[in-house]
Amino acid sequence: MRQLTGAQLERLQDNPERIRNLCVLAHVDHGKTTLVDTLIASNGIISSRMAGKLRYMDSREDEQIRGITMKSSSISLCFSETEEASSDKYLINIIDSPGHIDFSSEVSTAIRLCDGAILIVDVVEGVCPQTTAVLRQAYIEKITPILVLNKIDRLITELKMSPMEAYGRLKRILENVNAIVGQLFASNVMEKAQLSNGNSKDGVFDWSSGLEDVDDENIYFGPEKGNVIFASATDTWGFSIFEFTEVLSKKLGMNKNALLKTLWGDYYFDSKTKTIKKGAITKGKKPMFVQVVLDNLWTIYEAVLVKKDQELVEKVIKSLNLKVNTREANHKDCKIKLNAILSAWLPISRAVLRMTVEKLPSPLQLVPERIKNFLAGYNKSFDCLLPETKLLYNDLISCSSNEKTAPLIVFVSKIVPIEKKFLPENKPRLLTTEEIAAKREAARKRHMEGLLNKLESQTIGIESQKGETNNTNKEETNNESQTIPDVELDEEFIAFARIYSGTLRKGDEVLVLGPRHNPQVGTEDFSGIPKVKVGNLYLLMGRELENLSEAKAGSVFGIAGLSDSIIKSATISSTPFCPAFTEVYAESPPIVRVAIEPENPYDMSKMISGLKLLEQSDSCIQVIHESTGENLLLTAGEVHLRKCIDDLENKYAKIKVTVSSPIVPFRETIVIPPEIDMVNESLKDQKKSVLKTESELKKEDNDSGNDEPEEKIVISNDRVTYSDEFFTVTVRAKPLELKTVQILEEKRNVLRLLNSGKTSAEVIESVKSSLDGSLKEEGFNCNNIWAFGPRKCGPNILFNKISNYERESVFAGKVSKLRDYDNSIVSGFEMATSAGPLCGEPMHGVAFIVEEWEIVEDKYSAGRVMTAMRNVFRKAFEIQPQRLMVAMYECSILCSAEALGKMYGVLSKRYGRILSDDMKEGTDVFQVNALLPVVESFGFAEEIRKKTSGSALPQLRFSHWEALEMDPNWVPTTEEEYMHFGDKADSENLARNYMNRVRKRKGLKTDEQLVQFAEKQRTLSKKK
Amino acid sequence: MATIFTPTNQKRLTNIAVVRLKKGGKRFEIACYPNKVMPWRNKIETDIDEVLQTPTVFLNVSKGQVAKADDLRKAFNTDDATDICKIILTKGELQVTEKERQAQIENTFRDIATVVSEKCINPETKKPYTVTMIEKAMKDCHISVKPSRSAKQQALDVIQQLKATETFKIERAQMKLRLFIPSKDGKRVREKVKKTNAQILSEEFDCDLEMTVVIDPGLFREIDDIVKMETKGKGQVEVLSLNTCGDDDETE
Repeated sequence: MRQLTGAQLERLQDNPERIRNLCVLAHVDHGKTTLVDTLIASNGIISSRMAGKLRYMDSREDEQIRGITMKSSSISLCFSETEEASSDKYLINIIDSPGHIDFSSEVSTAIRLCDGAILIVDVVEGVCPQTTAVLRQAYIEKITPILVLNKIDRLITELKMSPMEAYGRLKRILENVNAIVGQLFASNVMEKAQLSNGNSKDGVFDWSSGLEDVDDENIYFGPEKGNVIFASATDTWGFSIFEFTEVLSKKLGMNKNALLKTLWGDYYFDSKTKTIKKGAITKGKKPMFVQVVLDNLWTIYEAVLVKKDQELVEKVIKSLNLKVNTREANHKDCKIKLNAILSAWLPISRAVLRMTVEKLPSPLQLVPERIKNFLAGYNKSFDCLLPETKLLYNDLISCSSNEKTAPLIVFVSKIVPIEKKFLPENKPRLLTTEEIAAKREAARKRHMEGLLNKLESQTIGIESQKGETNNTNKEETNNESQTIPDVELDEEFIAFARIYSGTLRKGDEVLVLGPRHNPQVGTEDFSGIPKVKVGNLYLLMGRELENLSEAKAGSVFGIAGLSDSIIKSATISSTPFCPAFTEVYAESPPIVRVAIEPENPYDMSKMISGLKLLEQSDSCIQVIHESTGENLLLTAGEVHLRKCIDDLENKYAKIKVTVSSPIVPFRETIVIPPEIDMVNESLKDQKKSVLKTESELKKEDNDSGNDEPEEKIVISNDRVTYSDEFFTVTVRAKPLELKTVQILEEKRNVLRLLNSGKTSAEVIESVKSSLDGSLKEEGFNCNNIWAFGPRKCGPNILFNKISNYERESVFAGKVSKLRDYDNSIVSGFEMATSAGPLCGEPMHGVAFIVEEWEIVEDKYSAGRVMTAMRNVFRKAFEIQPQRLMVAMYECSILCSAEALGKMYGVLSKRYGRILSDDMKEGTDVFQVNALLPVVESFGFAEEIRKKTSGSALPQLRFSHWEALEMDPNWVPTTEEEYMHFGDKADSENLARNYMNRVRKRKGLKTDEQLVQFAEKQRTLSKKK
Repeated sequence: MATIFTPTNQKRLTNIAVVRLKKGGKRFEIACYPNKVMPWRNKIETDIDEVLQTPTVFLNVSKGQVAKADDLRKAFNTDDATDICKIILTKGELQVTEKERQAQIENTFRDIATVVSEKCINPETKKPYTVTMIEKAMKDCHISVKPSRSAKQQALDVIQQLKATETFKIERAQMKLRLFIPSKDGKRVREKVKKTNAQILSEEFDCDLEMTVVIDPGLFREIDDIVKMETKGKGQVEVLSLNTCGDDDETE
């Protein structure tokens, strides 16, 4: 039976002192959702017998099937210490978070909205990688945690530990957790110390780390501090020391406080003298905790599960003075019996909720440092903010819901899709339509009043005010037009929000500040900020929602109707001086990159709109539409990807999609002829054989029959001459220096707009001069530049060195008179550079020099010259040593010391190159920087995570293009090379493998054999 | 009746692909390995021993009739059997195996798809389709590959066929041109250009006419001819881009 209705819960939020916002954090499978289940059961929303099995918060189908949580969801509960008194009821908003590493972004958003956290550790598995990660997140966000040591029942039933052993184990885990906390604390302190040292101007360097001076007493967990709970969520029992001290102090007649201090730790109870003494371990006595607590627990478990002794059980029940339902107490299934007894004795919900109420801060007790982080971000100083913004600090501290004085500040951490059928307005309800109409009227009135108030209180310049009112008008008309119901989606997007100050009502007009909003930048003009009418407000009740008429400061709730104006997260405020709260700290950015396509090509548009919705619904997804037509989806991990694809297929796009590895771009380039061959022998002595292979190559190409009859192409040295009766041209190709290529890539945007007249002369001049400097070293003149390519702005240059053709350079702007066919040559250059001969990928860093050009006019069409030129350019490229270029990722990995070796293994297997590895000060974490080819990166994140069991976190960022050392067309020619590589050197040649892969994808010719060894297809039969 | 096993002194050839050539009134045959003749002709296989089962020229392979040296000399003017085999390999006729045909068709199919993807865009997103998408659409259209025609030729047909299916939205990527026309011919050329389906982006008429137009690639020759004819070779056509798909650039 439900204890409270939504309306009652709504009333509870009036007093922020009695609100607690907390999230449940842990490693995957440590029992978060189960714990939340038991808490929900205490409020009567689900049956207490189902608690721990239902997993109420896992509303998604795949969550139930897989048994893991995939999204964070919130539920509002009520707790009162005493049964009757209605005055001291607390509103507790609990956010359940996923534990799997793929969904750590969900954890970040959950932590952001909370003031406290429940950290769960499985006593069997101990501290796991995710435990460390969530603790770090909690620490960075400065929220207060309490610790729950869960699954103690498994120590008894599975591991068959004795109470003493269990005590030791609990102690060790507690120490482990504290060690992490200490580490976080130490590294933080040291960072600060470094900062201040760096700033000190007097030249005296303070070598002390500052650790000694800082008090770290309050950050640790300890049962005696009252922030540790021992529990078994599946058996629905849990306790803190507090529960026992109460009973014991009565029984033994001892001081409560003394008991609190001694119940955990190296103390024992001397039954003769009835005193508590120190040094239990050395004297070989049982510590108090074992004696009083664990022994009793073990007895009960033994009585119920092992001995199955009904009399003993009844005796225990009696001695503990428990009220157990007789039907359950006599139940045949001993598991249920056990549950009934233990939950009557030590109900977990009471222990947990009481501790949250006592130990976790209310919204009134926001940590000042946290507020400063909100307002200024992690990297900026609070002092440099605007005075108006600084004023908000006090509002956040006071957390007042008084509309007159307190500005409205709401933070939306994510947008969640909720199925429409779960919305309260779509459920059968008791209100009649007249009542609804009356309510709507009232709301409208209120909203008008609010609007008037706002207008009066606004003290910003008149102009911006005008802009705003105009805006609101527009907004309103917009809203009206938007009221046409969107039937297609059966999902409504609800913003997951926390209100820090003020009161929000349905229909309020608010400013939506995007994540980039910064009051310091646009001080004068705030008219650009979108104003939005707030839709329905909801109380989040796990998989269901309750209507909420207003949200008051301190609460966590849901807002409808914002999905059009918010992409992922936003700040909602009544004042434009409120800065955007800093973006949610992301533990792992999305790095698993796949290309997706609709199975049916006609569904393209459906898929694209579906992708848009998907991106909005998940803060950790990125969608990129490549100019190649690919749609890339970036997710945090393989499980996350699966979830996203499911969502896309079943909810947002409703079409089947296929997932493939993304197409990896390559570049083609030429290099200065190498001096040594593959086995480090000088090439000079082998000139003959090399030349021979080249001429062979030529012959083959001639035979393969290009568009132009090749006999007209003559190669001498490194020049390529094409000549027939009307047309002669000579071209040479040369690699460009790295420096020049860099300049070309940097100035890409300027070059692109070069001839459009959109760039100023100075900008062009600066580009020209910087290019001139580097080109001169290579023996080129900037004034000879004919064109850039491909696409007029690429990293390849066409030079004009024709003796009898004076042509102004590209930089000269509009060129009035050109020779005929000038454009055909440029087009030929474009075509050649956009698809090289190796595998049809663009060229990179190649200079083509036209040295001779004669043409008899009107004999050729422009198109024919174009194709001829393309072939000449290609040929000039081909006779140089060609290389394939691969894109490289810069990869930074955070890795714990023990996983270092495995991580190196994964990197080297994928041809990664380590740049640096340093230990991070104050931690045992290594920071490794490496380069990784993009081609090899597919599945990299997943593999490294698996191999290191999640303790290495890679991040990938595009860095640069790098030429592979190996010639893709290389085959062994000399004796030594045959010796070293064997006859068929294909397995060795990485560049050739890449090239063939691309050629195959494009349907170009590869030298791969249909059948490698002809002999092997022979089926020899003797009968004949 | 038990017989004693005696080793045969015949070398039997199994799994043979026969290549035939009629020359000098006689039919010559050679015995090759299956799946190897096409790679040889495409210059992928360079080792002759991997292609020929035996470097002898037959009159009839299945009967094991070896061609007479006189006949060979008469027909090919040479004695060297390997040389003759090479001639027969390149010029002779053979049954292309299933596997070879499959591989060839697959390659051409992919090549066509690549060309289509390069030349076309999705009019909704102004971006090209990926090759795999085009392949899917082509399969849906039941497009069959003709091995005799070049990929580019076939691609142009495929584009038409894909356009005809109304569910798949595809269009030729437009070509962007800049035309320079001397002042006296300006008006005339402009009228003529307008009559074609070209879409005029901008035009400037200071002393000479300068126009930027977007056209269907098929119109290029027509426009080029107009400019050439009307201005008697004084006007110029500059190709700004071969396929304009969206304004944004490549992103890495």
